[in-house]
Amino acid sequence: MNEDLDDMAAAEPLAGEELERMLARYARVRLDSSQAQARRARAVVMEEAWRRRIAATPAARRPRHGLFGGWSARRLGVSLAAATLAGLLLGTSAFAASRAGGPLYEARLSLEELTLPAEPAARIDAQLTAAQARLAEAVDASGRHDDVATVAALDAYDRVIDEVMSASGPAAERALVAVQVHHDVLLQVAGSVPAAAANGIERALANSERVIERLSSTVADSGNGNGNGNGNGNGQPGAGGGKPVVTGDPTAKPGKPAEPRATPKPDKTPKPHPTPSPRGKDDGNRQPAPSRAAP
Amino acid sequence: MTIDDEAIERFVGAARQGDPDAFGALFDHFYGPVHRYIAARVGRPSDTEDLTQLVFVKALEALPRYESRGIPFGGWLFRLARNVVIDHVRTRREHATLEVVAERPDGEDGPDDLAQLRQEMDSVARALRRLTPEQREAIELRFFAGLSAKEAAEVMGRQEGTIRGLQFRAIGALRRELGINDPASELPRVSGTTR
Repeated sequence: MNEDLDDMAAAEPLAGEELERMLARYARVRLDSSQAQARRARAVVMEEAWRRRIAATPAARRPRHGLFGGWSARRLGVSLAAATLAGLLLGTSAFAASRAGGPLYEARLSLEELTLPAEPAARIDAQLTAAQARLAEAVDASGRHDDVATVAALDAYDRVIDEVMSASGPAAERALVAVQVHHDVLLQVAGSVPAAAANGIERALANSERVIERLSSTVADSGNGNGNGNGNGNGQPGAGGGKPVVTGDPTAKPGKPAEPRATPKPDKTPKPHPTPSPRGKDDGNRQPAPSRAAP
Repeated sequence: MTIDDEAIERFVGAARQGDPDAFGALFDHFYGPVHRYIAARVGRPSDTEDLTQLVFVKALEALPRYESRGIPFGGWLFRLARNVVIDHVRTRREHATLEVVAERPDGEDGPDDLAQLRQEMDSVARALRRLTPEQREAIELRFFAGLSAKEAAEVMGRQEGTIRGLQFRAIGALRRELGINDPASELPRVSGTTR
């Protein structure tokens, strides 16, 4: 502000030293936010920014067929039971007991776990949603200075992301982005948790860092795996039959004889061949293209 | 956090591509000034906190549609902030005043210093209230939010010269109100200050 004024040309109306000082002090004393406010606002805004980023990834926009299209009968059944129980809980004061740290909290989490889909990618997505919910409970409890609830929610969070660690493929990428957001949020909360929950938050931070590392290497490996797979196949056209191996298996041996047998094309080409070759099937197998062009 | 205009443009470009960290850098740079501007306009701390968050969430939504075209990002962001405040005041029943309840005095001030500080702050608040709404907004944008005259002009939808004129008259009024001597050397003549 003051620097701006100094830089202005002579035409700039200057306030003068005393008025400037008074206005600056007024702004500092009455208009500035507290650090806690700034931290809270940053957590909210960054969560929104990451949520948009995650929503913008193609995998997250995967279409669903029907409202419960991707649900198995078992999952539907358990969900119905969970919904019924939730309804009952809602109808009684026991609902409060299922909040983080409450006596029914673990029961609610177990019930939620039962509703997780069996299909791996969908399961990871559901676990990420659950981890987000546990984190929100921890932040909420921390804001209420409820250390028991904070610790309970953080413990539950740790358990969920332990399972997320097994994600692979596109689900691992989504999980990585999400857990990075969680880590960011945990860092923001770390300064304001009740003292009794300090260990819990440190554990959650360490755990999320471990998961981030693991997922990062999974994501990196899946990228490298494809590259290596292509390389192996291309590198050995004579021995491997000329067809690139796209399995991405880094352990695949280049000279393995099984690979060319798996390609059906060479077997089919000799049949429509109009000119009989004196060398027989072997030539037909190896040079299908020139023989087709010969007539 | 202080970053130059070039860095801001770089962060804006990356944030438009969906980079949350770039948006975080913009948040860190602009949060304080936006908070000050909104606090000056709405007064109530809880409203200020909510509205400041809302400005950045709206910026996140609108950022893909933002095109520089010579308009500084700060001007664009504060225009959003201004609209958020206008909507808020419109929908709130009671009138927004400059009454401020939150104070953050320096930690080492003694009771006498605090009393003196409070007195001074009340005087400034009173002097600000006596300005015209446009003069007050010019002061809020230039002195509290730290915008350039060009950015303030963009926010208020006025000419740059008009902003300087408003600022000139506001400074004169504040000096008179606060009993500050008015040395002629400190107030150079302003060109193009017609409203």
